[in-house]
Amino acid sequence: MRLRAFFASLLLTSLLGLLPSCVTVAPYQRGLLARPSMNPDEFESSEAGFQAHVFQSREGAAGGLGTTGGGCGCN
Amino acid sequence: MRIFCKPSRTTRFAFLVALIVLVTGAFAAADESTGTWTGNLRVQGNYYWETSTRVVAPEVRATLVSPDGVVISAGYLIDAITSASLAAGVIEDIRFTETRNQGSLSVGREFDLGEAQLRLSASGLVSHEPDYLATSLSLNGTLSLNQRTTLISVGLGYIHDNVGSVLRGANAGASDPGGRMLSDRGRVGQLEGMNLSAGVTQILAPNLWMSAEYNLLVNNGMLSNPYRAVMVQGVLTPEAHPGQRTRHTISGRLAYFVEPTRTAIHLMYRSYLDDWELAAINPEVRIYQEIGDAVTLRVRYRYYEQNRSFFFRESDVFTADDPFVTADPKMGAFHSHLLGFRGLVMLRFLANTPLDFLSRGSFDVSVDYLWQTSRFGNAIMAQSGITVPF
Repeated sequence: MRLRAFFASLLLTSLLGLLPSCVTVAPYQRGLLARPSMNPDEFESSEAGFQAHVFQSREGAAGGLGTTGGGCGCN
Repeated sequence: MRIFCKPSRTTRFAFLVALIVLVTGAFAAADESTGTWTGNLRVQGNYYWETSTRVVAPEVRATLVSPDGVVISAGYLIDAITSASLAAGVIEDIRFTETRNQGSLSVGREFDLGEAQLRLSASGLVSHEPDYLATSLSLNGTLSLNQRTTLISVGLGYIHDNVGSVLRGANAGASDPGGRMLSDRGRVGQLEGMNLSAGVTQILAPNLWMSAEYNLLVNNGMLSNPYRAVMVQGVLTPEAHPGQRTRHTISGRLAYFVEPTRTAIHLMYRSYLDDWELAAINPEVRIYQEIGDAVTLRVRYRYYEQNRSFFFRESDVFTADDPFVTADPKMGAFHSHLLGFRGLVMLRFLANTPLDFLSRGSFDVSVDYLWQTSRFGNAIMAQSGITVPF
């Protein structure tokens, strides 16, 4: 079941990866994309490191949290 | 068992240093007229609580941008972890506080390739605590195409950890009635890891973007906890995990802005699979609401569910023939719900007040509550910080 979900998301991600060739939005059209709520780097990057540390020490999964991990004595 | 303590001397010292650095950095804005360097300074407090563990982690981070576009970022974090443990040779529960120091540094620069831009960065991290030394290096590259409509990212990382063992209460007795003295058993193992990631971020419309990423992590070495033991047919046996683990993660995010209400909706998904037969799914939704030009609020709901690894069994079910034994709650099946709130306030209202030096900055606070069916139990996570540009 989980295996199927994993490969379904792999397929979906691959399809999303094909989208780049479809669209070009000019820089002057990106005012809304610059809003804090559409810009995770600005709004919430500061919380990512500590939260990734917490999740990786309490959950079996790792990676994909937008940070590059790094070890700690939390195995 | 209940634990409570006031902040340690180290934690109070870190807060003091962070405050001094913040004020000093903010006054550096007076030099902005030289136009040579820009950047920002951030002071942040992190807090985590669950039944048997509490973490208080203040940190400070500075980012500098040189006139020719080199971005240098450095951070320092002190992690004071308070745990309730049953020490060896001691009957009662004892509360221990351990400190972890972490420093990080990254350097990056964007190169103009004409029709495209290439950003390269390198970063390093060192984390030290009495029984663990972690080091990591990573290289990242991001190629911007189609007037930055498409970003293609690749990252490569390496980690090397020295795993030690410090036995608490080993000398309990007349010389150590509290059982708090530490007995350093030295290094008991090493852990290495290689991390590879590849991702794409694409603007799909003036109010819509998406990102997708694949992440591969290969670990070799000490993957078990030197302190955990398992009851095997009535005999307490050290935990033993396989010495290698290959981990795959796929993640995606779709962000949409509703202009009339100034609301943003982010749908996120993460799927995980490794060769310990542990798989997880992790969907999340975040809703942002802008209020005026100064306040942004966010609520989020996160769901996480995993199955058990192939060698996980309930305690006392292991036999002497089992090559791997574990007492790690992360190896068992469980799920969790997270409900969180975050607010960000621009500090422009402080202009022309005694706190004018903060008026170009922002203040944020977040609180998350986790319902976990694992042995760790429910938890609270909170963060708050001030960022001041200069």
